[in-house]
Amino acid sequence: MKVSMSIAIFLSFLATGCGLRSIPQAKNQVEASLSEVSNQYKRRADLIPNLVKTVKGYASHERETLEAVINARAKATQVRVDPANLDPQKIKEFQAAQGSLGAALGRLMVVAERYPELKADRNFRELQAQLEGTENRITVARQRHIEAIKLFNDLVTVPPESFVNSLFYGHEKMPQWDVTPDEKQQIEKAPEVEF
Amino acid sequence: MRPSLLIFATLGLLVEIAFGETFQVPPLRAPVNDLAQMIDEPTERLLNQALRQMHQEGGAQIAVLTLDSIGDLTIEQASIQVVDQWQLGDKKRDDGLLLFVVQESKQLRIEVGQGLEGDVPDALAKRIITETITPLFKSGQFSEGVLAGTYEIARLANPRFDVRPFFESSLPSSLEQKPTRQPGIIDYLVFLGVLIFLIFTPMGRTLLMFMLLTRSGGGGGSGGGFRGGGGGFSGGGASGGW
Repeated sequence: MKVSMSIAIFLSFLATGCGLRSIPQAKNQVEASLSEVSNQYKRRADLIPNLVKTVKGYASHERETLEAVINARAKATQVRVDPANLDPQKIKEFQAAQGSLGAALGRLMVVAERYPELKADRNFRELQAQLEGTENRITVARQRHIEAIKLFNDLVTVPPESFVNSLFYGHEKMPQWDVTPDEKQQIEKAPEVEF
Repeated sequence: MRPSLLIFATLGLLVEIAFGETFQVPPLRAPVNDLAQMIDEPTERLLNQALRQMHQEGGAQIAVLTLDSIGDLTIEQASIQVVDQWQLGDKKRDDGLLLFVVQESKQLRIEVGQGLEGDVPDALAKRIITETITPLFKSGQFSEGVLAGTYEIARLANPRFDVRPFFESSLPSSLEQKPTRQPGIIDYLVFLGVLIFLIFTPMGRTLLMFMLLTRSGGGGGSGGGFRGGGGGFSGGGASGGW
């Protein structure tokens, strides 16, 4: 009797679609959008060796700035996040590492401004265009990830879907991203980098 | 033109108004959406025809948008909103592309669909902006700049076929209209039903008011729809200014 009751309840939820499908879907979307974010960060990291080499060719005595970028890259590539297992602490670390890499890169591009020959170098300009494109992809990917988390959090906290969540899934709210101080600095710096 | 669709569209509009979005994405009416009136009419006609035909023959879906202003947004933010809404390109191939020009802030951007990022890498998009488009824009030759830029983009985005014939002249043969389907009795009945709904019910009248109020002029006689096919964008491309 009890079993058939719960089956009936289960089926009625299935029929009305009150989150039974949309909650796992939203969770998958969050995971997919996070992989996209880390993909784009990886893309940025992959550009850096070439960029550093090109800048070195014209501005070898900017050792400090160049080393800062190399070190920040090394750190950033070490911190990875597992999309299926979101840990707030880990996300914070990941964010901080990527944020300081972004800031170091920002400083490098400001330094590059002072070298007209570097700025005229075709290779450098192409790398710069790729870097700008990748930074924009990161922004877009993060925006989409934030939206996906918001959708998921709405589903697990706002009725009626939240009832289904507590009955069947028991997911908790996911931590939302925020902008680190380093990144804030970088955002404010961004217009300087463009030329 | 089902009433439910209309209600949906109206609701969407209401939500947007309620949230006070500073930037409203204009509807995609044709390949060239020259809202800032920067492109002369012959160029617009040629481009519309070329881009439409190229798309119909299986090429990339390329659109042009000019706007007076985008408020406080950066051109990247505005551009991604436009392509997210227009969904240029095929759903599977993601082969959409947008050339976006903002007159007031003298900025432009080439937004590249996910499927075209290999054919139109950021560096080449940037090169088209700095070497082809901006020199012409600087001397006030906006029509020429848009035309030359779009041609370059189309060439890169369609490596498998020659795009030059589409741009060379407006061929009279391509002006031929496809024979339109004769409307049957069902069409008249649906039309009548929608008309009755719009005029005689209170909700219909509200909708009608909305449609009349939000309708902007122009765009007539373009023939054939130019709709996005669900293509995805992830922020690739390049921006520049003149």
